[in-house]
Formats: sequence, structure tokens, C-alpha cells
Amino acid sequence: MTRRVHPLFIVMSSISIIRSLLIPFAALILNAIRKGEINTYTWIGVSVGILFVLLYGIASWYFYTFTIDTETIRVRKGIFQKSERTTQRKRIESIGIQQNVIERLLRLATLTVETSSESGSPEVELKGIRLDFAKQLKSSIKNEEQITEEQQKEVAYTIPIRDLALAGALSGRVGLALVGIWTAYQFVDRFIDRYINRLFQELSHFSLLVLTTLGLLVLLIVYIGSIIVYILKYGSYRAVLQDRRLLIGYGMLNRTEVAFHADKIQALVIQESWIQRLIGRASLSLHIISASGEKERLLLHPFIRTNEVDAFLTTYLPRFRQFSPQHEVAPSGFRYRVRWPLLGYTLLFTALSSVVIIVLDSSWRFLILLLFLWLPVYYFAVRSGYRKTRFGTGHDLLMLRKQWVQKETVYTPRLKIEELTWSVSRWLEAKEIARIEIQLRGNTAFNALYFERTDIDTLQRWYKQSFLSTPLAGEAETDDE
Amino acid sequence: MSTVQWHALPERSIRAERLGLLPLHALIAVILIGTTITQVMWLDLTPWWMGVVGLLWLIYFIPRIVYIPVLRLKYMRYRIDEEFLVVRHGIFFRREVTVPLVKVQLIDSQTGPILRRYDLITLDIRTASGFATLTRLDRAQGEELRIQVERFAKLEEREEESL
Repeated sequence: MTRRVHPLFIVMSSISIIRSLLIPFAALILNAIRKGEINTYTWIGVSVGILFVLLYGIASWYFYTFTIDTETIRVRKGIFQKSERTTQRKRIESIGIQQNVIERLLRLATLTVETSSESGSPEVELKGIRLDFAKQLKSSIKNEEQITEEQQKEVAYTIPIRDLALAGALSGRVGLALVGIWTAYQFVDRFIDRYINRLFQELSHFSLLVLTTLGLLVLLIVYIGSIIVYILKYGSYRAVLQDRRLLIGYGMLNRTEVAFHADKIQALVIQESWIQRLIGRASLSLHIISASGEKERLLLHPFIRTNEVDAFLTTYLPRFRQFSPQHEVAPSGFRYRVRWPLLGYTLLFTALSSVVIIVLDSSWRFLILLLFLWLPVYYFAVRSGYRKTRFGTGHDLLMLRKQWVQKETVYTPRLKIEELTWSVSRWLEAKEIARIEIQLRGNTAFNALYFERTDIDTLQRWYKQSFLSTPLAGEAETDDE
Repeated sequence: MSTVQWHALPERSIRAERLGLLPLHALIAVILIGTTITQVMWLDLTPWWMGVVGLLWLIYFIPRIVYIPVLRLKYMRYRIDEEFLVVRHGIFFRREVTVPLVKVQLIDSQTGPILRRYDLITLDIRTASGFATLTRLDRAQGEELRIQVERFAKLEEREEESL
């Protein structure tokens, strides 16, 4: 069937063009109002602009068609420069439905289809189709076998708003909110400049205590703002498991929905920041196959109780389960891990402080020597991180754990590992230690250093079990899947 | 551990690598000499900086052409171990990469005039995550390796992904 997207696409694309031009136009009009130069010509100009945008929207809608047959999905678009993109249905890796604010208002959605190609953006992007139609399309793109299983049991999971608020409160996004407010202030500065000046004059009459309180109040508002942003971003979170297909959706304003088969999961990452560790929480994310865009790493759960992770995995990702790592790093490797960075910092700080001490005249110049305090801090932080690095193998899963300020544990199925590499510099070759690295599809790599070579041999033996569905003749088959 | 033999590069790969480097470095030498002569003859300069550049180039060029091909021959090893390709390589870092042959997506083979003269071949073995390049293999050995890898392309991988 060849068809066009919904006519509301015209409204949507017009709104988004106008929205992207809103700031410069608003600035121009505000300026005109301030100078009292607004007249009929201004309005004619604005109307012609809007008319042009509308005509452009109609033309782009007219030339925007898509065809879905049994083997391919084809999207044609473009007014002057035509483009046609054909994607093989069997190459599809994931299908997602996204809605931005305008689309939510108009009950429309964007359907994205991704394959494992290396382009950064989704292979197919169908904008402005009815939400119901998008859902229908998504299920029709699934293969037939899946559709017959549609009636199978469905398990859904939501995250209470209290948990989201707590996750937002501990996510340390205050800095981002501050940057946002500062940028906004820079922009509106010229319009509200005189009011700000007056405000500062008024403020200068207050006491230090009142000013401090005001400052703290502003910070508090920013902090609460950051929590609200977090809730808006991850709110209405819903994970649905149907057969072995997962659907993850979140976002109160801009809604993101991604559907993928559990087979597509390359790795599960469990992260615990130091503050999360204190209160026994963790966040779960997945590496799924997609183009190297943002969906490569997908948030599965922003704030799960550590003692509930096992139950969650059993229900939603039965292939993954937690276990304790068997292999620790080689204690003798630490000095090789730390010596070059330490030497580098020492040289850098020595050069920097020599320059400052020679050039500056003030007696404060010796304060630069405080830089050297970083060396012990770095040494102990690296040592603590190094000692906690682990790897382990179990039931067809490889686990790799690193801990710096944040504890990060990666679980990846053996059959998903595309390459296993160990490496060591020629100078350390005789020390019988090496660094390990695993490569997954989509240029994802995880590494850790340094492990004993005997441990690495064990890992290699574990990795070198059969990858074939029917093992080669005369070969011992030991795999346990 | 497996008893399969490690394969090494043939001795003549050293000569092939050296010969392959010559055109580029000859060009660099011509450019260096040319610019020095221009500066001395026409611009009336005393270009000591060209000496520095020339020295830096020599510091790179001599080890590159004399030692690195020998070290590559010494360190580079590969073998097909049941259903895995294991490659050991690296001059300053020793690396050992294990790739399951079923994951191999395509094999590119290249030969140029120099490689043909020494009966050598370069194989690019690509997986979805990256690739291993085996440079200057003996042509017969390379062909054999390619046939072995291609045999696996027909086999079915256990990890069958569905949408």
C-alpha cells in the first residue's frame, strides 16, 4: 500500500517551522513595538511569512509518501530534492514511536525503524501519522509469528512518581538546570535589563542575611526545577513485556516508546552512584542494537531497589541474572596502572607551578603548590577503583565490574560478544598480566585492566565454546544454553 | 589448549613491506631536498629548520623501515582454532584477538604490484563490530584461510535474532 501521512502533518510541520523561527521573529516584533514602528506592513509581512510556511507544509505533505509491502518499507519525500529510502523488513532491529508536544496535542506520532547499519539516524522516520495507525503499523511490521502470539500474557511495570522524584533529586542535574537558567537570562537580558537594574538597587538596601536567604531560595527553586524536568522526562514510565518483546515508553511531554525483542539486547548495565549505593538503589540501562544514535543505550529503570533487581530481571530479562564475579585484578598490576598518569600529573604541576612562582610577584603565588594535593587523592581513588575491578563468567553471561565514584556492572551474553581481546604493552609482557576488552555490535566496547594471564586463559576457554546451532562433527559441545 | 599450529608471515613479507614504504618516503625525501634547495638558492636563507625536519623524518624512517617489518614478522601469528580465528599482533603492545568465525561478515582480499611480485596477499576480515587485517600473508595460506572462513559463513549461528 502506498499512502500519505495524515493531513494534520501540514499543521505539525508548519508549527515546527514557525516554532524554530519564533525567537528571531519575537525579537524583531518586540523591538518594533518598543520603538513604536509597528504598522500595516509589519502585519502583511508576518501574514505572507505564515502563508509561505503553510504552502511549504502542504507541498511537503503531498510529496511525503510511504509504501509497506511484504519485504520492504519505502519512504519518499522532498519537494525539490527528492529522496527515496528503502529498508528490508528482515533487517529491522527496532521500531519506536515518539511523540513530541505538538504531536501529542494533535494525537499524531513519529514511527522510527532502525536497522544495524552504521548511519547515525534511524533508517526510516515516518512523521505525522495517527498514533493508533502508528501502533497498528508497528504490529504489522512485526513478523507473522509474533502477531499470532499477540494474545499471550502481558506483564507491565510502572515507576511511582515518588521514586522518580527521588531519582531526580539525587541525579545531580542541578548544574544543567543552572546552565539553562543562565542561558535563558542571557537571552532575555536586553529586554528586562532596566528591571533587573532596579531590582539590584532595591536589593542593595537589604541586609546580608536577607540576601543569603534569597540566594538560597533561588537555588532551591532551581533544584526543584531540575526534579520537575527529570519527572517530565521519565514520567509515565511503562515497560511492557509481551512474549519476549519489550516495549519501553517514557516522557510526559515528549514521549519516547521503543519496542524490541529481548534477543536484541547486547548488554545490561547496572549503575550505582555513591549516593544511590548509600540508599540501596541502582539504575538499569540496556545496550540494544540500533544505529549509533542515542537509542543505543536505553534506560530500563532509573531507580530500582538493589534487592529488587533479581526479581525484576527474572520477569523482564530472564536471560540476565546477577552473580558474583570470580576473578579479581592482579594486585601487582596497580603500579603499572597508576605510574604514567602520576608521572604526567607531577610533570604538569611542576611546570605549571614553576611558571606561576617565577612570573607572579604576589606572596599568594605559592598557593599553586596546593595542586600537588591532587596526587595523593588521585593515587588513593585509582587504587580503590582498581582493587574493585572484577570479571566473572556464568551461565553464558560475562560480567565486568568497575568502580570509581560510580559502580558500573556490565552483563553481556557470550553469544553477543563479537571479539574478545587481551593486550599488554611489550614492557609488561613478562609480568603475566593483561588488559581485557570485549567488542559488541555497534562499536560498543568494554574493557578492564589488569588481570592475571591465567584468569584470562580461563576467560578465553569460556568464550571459545561453540557459537554454532549445530556443532561441528567430532567436537565437544559443552555449552549450556 | 588447542594443538592447532600458529601460522606466521613468510620471511619475504619483510622485503615486501620495505619496498611498499619506499615510494612514499622517496617522495618525502624529494620534497625535503627540493624545499631546502629552494630556500638556499632563491630565498637566500640558511634553513637550519629543514635540518630539524630532516632529522625528525630520519628518526621515524629508519626504525620504520629497518626494525618494524622484522618485529612484525616476529610477533604476528594467527590460527584457526576450531571455530575461532585467533590473531596475535602488535609491535609495542601485544594483542591477542579471538573472533568467532560465524560472526565474520565479509572478507576482502587485496594484492598490489609489490604483493603480487612476492606472492603475498592482504586479508581484511570484518565482523559487525570491527575487523582484523592480516597483512602480507603467503598467498596460498591466505586463500586457505579464506576458504576456511567462508565455510563458516554457510553455517547457522546459534544466536538467531528475531524482531
